[in-house]
Amino acid sequence: MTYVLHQLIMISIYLILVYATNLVTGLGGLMTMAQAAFYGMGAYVYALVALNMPVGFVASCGISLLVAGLVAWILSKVVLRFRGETFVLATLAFQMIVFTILDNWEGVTGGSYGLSEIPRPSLFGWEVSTVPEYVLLSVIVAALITGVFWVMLNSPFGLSVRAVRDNERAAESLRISPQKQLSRAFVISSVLASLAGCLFASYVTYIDPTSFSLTESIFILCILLVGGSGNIIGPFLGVLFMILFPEGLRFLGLPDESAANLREIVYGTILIVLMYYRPNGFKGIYSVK
Amino acid sequence: MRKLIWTLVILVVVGVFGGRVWYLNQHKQIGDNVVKIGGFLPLSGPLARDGVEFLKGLKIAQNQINNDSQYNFKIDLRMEDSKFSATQAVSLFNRLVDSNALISSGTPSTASIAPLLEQHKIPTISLINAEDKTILASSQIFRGWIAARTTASEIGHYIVSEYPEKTVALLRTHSSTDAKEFEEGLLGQLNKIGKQVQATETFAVTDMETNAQVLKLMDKNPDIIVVYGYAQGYIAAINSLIRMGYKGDIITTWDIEMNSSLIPNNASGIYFVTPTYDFSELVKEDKTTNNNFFVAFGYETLRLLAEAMKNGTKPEQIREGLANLKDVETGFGKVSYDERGELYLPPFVLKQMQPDGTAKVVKE
Repeated sequence: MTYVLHQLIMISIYLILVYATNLVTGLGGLMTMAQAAFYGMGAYVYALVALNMPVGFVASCGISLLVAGLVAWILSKVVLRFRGETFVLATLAFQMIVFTILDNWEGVTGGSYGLSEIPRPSLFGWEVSTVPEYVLLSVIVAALITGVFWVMLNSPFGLSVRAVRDNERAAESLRISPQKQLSRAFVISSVLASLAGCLFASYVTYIDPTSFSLTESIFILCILLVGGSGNIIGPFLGVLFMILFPEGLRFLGLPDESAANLREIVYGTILIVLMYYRPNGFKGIYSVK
Repeated sequence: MRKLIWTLVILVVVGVFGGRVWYLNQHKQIGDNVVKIGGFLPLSGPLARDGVEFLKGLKIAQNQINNDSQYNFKIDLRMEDSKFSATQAVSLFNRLVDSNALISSGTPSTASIAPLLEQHKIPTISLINAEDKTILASSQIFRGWIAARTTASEIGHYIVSEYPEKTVALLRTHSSTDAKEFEEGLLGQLNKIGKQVQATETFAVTDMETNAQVLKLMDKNPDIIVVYGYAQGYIAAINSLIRMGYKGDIITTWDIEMNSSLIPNNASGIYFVTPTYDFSELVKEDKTTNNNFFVAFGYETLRLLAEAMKNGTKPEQIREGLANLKDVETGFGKVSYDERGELYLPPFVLKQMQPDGTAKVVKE
């Protein structure tokens, strides 16, 4: 049972991450490779604040989101000068820089060993210490973010970001500033990724750089592409499929020595087949350029 | 398209449930008084080779134990793929939480579950965990085999006693706690005679070449270069030293013997410290395991757990049993655990690689 509850927590955390990515990639049309960097930044800042300052869960999260927002805003000034492959490379570079810092700044981040004994959340007297309690917290947060994303999707902001995606020049002629709208989307997306990082760090109570590598950024992007970008249901389907499917494969009863690699092959093959027949994902509005 | 998706869904559902039924049947056959030993090893990804070898050793031991009448229990071994990731380890822990004991491998996996082990009180042997910090992270974690600090101490001791006048440089992996502990262990010995490491250069475990670091070290002209690391970065470091024409002595860890075929001239001339292992028992079971420490680690780990379970198979009894294991006969010689989970092995020997890929004992 704990195992199923754990999967629910991971689904909630990844749902936040994928909605965050959906803002920049699905609505904005820019494929970002830096989501794991902000996810990691959120986790590390939360952990460092919670370990060193007894300010509580909400304040620790708040500081973490502020830091991620500020870094994203500064970064957006640089990376949003680019579009297409150049934007991918710029965010990829940022991802690598953050990972290298997490892996090497031993005095602060603990280097490759990471940070342990991160406190569990305490919200207005509610000690979130058991797995079922954590399910409740993470599902509530994920539901809130889904709601926020749903509102944003059809808000003037959401529509203007989509307009920029579809035709930047046409959007400009309607007095929409592409730079400003994309920058907002990028900052909000990074802040949401950082929130997922706070939840992850406080749940696992141990973090190390391997959880926030480039592979993680690619995985988040894969979830979005498989589920479908630019809407609300696609990311949800993507998260369900990409989290539960590999877990389901564990029950296939393959021989132990080759099971892990065979599962990866089955998983990869099904992804290729899916992308071939559904390039927009299960329920995607756009295919990623 | 809908047809395809539905076919896929049906296939997956049938596969998963069919697999589950098969899995349950397999495990039912073991019978009564079954002890569940769960664990996670890197069975895919860059460290998969190590994980698969560990698993081989574990299975050999499982077969032996389950067919040995001196044990009044059978072992149900449930090994999962950790992908060498902290997130995976936490996820798997929740699947294996009903285990009587666990076996893990690697720092991210073991350190990430340390708080959970403490909470659920499940004794765990960390198969290969070179650093002290992880072992001390939970009272439930016991060291499996090699400690970086101990290995470095053995190398340092050899240098101090045999070549006190020679200058020493260090080439090691960067930003890893075990490499730092290795350096501390080496310095601890060298400082005894007022000696320092002349220069240190580092490399990443994923590095494909380390020529720049090696040339920088060679500029200092050290008599001995000590190399510490693992995976492809380690092999690249040794290869760079040979390719760049370093003429002094290279002293390293037992990893060199495992990887000598990837190094020119079978790494001939390179010294290394190593525990000694009598493979005869393993070879009896599986002829391919000769000189493979990873299989030996897996094999001996399960045998130690079985030894600890002789007086009871509940998690708290297993923990107690492990902490009280003293002078247990293994292929490595007599080994003991202490209350903190530290493992005590017989002293290492110094060996030198030969051109034919074998290693000769130079100093016992």
